[in-house]
Amino acid sequence: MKKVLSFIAVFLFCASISTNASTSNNSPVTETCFSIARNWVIQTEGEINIDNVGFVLQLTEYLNSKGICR
Amino acid sequence: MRNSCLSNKFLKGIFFLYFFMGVIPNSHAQNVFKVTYSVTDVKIQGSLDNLDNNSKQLFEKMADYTKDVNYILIANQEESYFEQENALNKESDSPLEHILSRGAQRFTSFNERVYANHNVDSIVFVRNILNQDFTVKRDYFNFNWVFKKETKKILDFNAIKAEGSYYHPVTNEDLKVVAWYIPSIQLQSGPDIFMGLPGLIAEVDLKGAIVTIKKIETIKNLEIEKINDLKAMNQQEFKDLIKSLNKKFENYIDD
Repeated sequence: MKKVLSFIAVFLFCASISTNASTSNNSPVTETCFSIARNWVIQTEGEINIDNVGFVLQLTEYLNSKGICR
Repeated sequence: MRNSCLSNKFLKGIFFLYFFMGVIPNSHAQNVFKVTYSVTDVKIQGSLDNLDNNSKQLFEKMADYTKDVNYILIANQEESYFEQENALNKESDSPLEHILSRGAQRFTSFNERVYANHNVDSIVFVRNILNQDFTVKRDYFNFNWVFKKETKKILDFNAIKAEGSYYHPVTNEDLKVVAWYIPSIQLQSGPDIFMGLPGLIAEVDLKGAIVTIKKIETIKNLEIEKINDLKAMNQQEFKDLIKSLNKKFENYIDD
């Protein structure tokens, strides 16, 4: 249970970074890996929920490792 | 007279050998079905047009990869065990392979493993939520199957259509499922949690994918794996866990 809650915390931390980045005037045009991953899951599954949030983070990590987003 | 007696003894001996060495062992050699399923179509809830080119390419790769993944059901009339075919064989150390494998699971939304005991209508399944496995023991899902008249051939078997609906506790939604079952194979099993029809389920049309039978084999005395349920949560405990996680999740999202 603790592990799960800490996972949610990591997700929310990423979400807050993503939100801040997209609303900042100084942010670059390129999207963050997290927002790309989030959009991916929303398009494929319809919404983000506790069942797919783990995959959002895994996809974020993968996209980040490819260097195509930050 | 003596010859007749000897011949009777001889026949009895033959009968004895046939009965105990032939009939008895064979009666214990039970045929077990090994059924291979794969994804024949994937569905998305939004639109690919809303994805950038890199994401579209990744989606295409993931959809192709998903169709290569096999799911195995081992079943007889009393019990069944279902899981993805040795995922570790397909999953190399490559980050791409890893993410494709994880993505493939998203379309079907199948549990990691499912064991069903058809004598008592109970199932034990392992669900991965937020990268942690939870084992749950509960009654069959109630699909309220409605039998339809439509039939079609699947692997040369006559399959009959049935429609059902069920509550998905993790995503908190009511989902519809269309199943095609083969009445001539008298197993009440099917892929993942889908079961309870008067014949083996050959195809399920789910929210994110269509999963269809690819191969059916019968193997003598194949062991049907069980899931250790000593520490399994019951239906109510799992429901409470999901409710609590969903509540926390929604609160954070709202904030």
